Amino acid sequence: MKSQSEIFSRARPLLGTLVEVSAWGEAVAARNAIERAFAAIGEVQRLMSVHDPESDVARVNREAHERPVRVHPWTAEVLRLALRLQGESCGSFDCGVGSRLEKAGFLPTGAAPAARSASASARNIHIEDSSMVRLRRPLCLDLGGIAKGYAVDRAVEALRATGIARGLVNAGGDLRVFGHAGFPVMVRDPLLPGRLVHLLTLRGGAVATSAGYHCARRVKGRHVMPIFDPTRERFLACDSSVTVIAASCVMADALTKVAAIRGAAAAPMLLRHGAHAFWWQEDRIYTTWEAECRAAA
Amino acid sequence: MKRRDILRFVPAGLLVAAVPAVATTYLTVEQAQESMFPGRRLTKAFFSLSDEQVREIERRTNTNVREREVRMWRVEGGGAFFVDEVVGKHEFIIYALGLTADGSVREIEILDYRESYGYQVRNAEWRRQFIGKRAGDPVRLTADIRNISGATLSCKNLTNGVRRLLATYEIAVRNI
Repeated sequence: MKSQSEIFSRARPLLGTLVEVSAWGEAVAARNAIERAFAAIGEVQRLMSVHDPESDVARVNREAHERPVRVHPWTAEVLRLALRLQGESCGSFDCGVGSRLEKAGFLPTGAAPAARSASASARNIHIEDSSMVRLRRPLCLDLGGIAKGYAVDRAVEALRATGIARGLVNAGGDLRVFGHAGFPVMVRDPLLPGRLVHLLTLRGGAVATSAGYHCARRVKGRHVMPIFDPTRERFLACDSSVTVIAASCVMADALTKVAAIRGAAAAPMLLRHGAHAFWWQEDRIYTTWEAECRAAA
Repeated sequence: MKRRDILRFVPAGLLVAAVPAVATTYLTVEQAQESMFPGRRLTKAFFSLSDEQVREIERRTNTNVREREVRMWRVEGGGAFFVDEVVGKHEFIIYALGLTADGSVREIEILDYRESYGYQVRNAEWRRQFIGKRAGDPVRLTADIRNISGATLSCKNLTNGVRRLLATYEIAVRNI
């Protein structure tokens, strides 16, 4: 006989947003699992926050152009993935463009004091001996486009490690679920963010959405979101959104940037990673799902 | 990701009726107290801030004190528990803050999250969700935030609120 499974949810401010962790199960086990999940999220924040002066990212930004900086295995893992994705995406995914975000006001000034060059990119990042990071020139490393997804994965891993069979972690919209019969995923209309649409229903998997409704700024006369397109040397406009589903949240998170920047050209890369994208522009949703894909404008 | 993990998606160009509001309740005040300070006795100690205290808090934290009444509980053995709220452009968040005996943050828990863009829902869509419903059928009036991909609200208001409460504790309770 199956025992009654109750949902236990907690939400806390972390990673610059609200993070919710939910676990289905018996009270003591669920609460314990949720604490471990939040501990994992806290660890990712401690390691990869560009705002925390003691984080691996901040230390790299301060010193790694002068001497190699040792980072935590999690940081090294995220960095290796980011560098691989840069190559695969023809330079679109670039975690080394933090100084552009700083200049536009998306990141606080002083994040990377020595970084002055406008042409620095993740190509100048080198990882040696599995966890030593060296910068070939000063730059501002920013893992904001991938760390949230990674934190969600680590949190889900923590829930599962304590035996939770059904759960979810949602970090400001980057979410991952497991063990569900059918979990509805809602997405906001990019032009009317109060309007929610039931886009898909999941049994398991991760979803991330890139859009401008909560973080837009005016840069050079345009209303833009904090995604910089290194190939066109400008930020993306706020008029559309892209949602990516993938097996892991770190991939869903990172691939939203690739899909947002490259549009339909990202389709081969998405499919290679077992992921799908939904571009929402002007009241129409285009998707790789049907293998029919028209270029997002 | 396996195909069988995805049960449903919206075909391109077809949008389903929207839900007008988001609301999720996580904890009651009592549950948050029991979670942060298990087994400890909490004594209600609400108080009102004086003009001078408001000015000093605002000066120290560079935030606005919108509400003079401070909802504080003293924790047996040391520490404090606060309930406070922050109001954003479209969000309303009630949260609890637990402090250790030395005035540092023990935990922050969201009690209630509410969101409303109200006026943006077009009338025809709003009505459509009622067509065909019989009396007694459940009508979905709110969504839970956990189901939303792409919220990405900044917790800046919340962290400012926490800073304001920390300063309130120092100035009005510990007198530093």
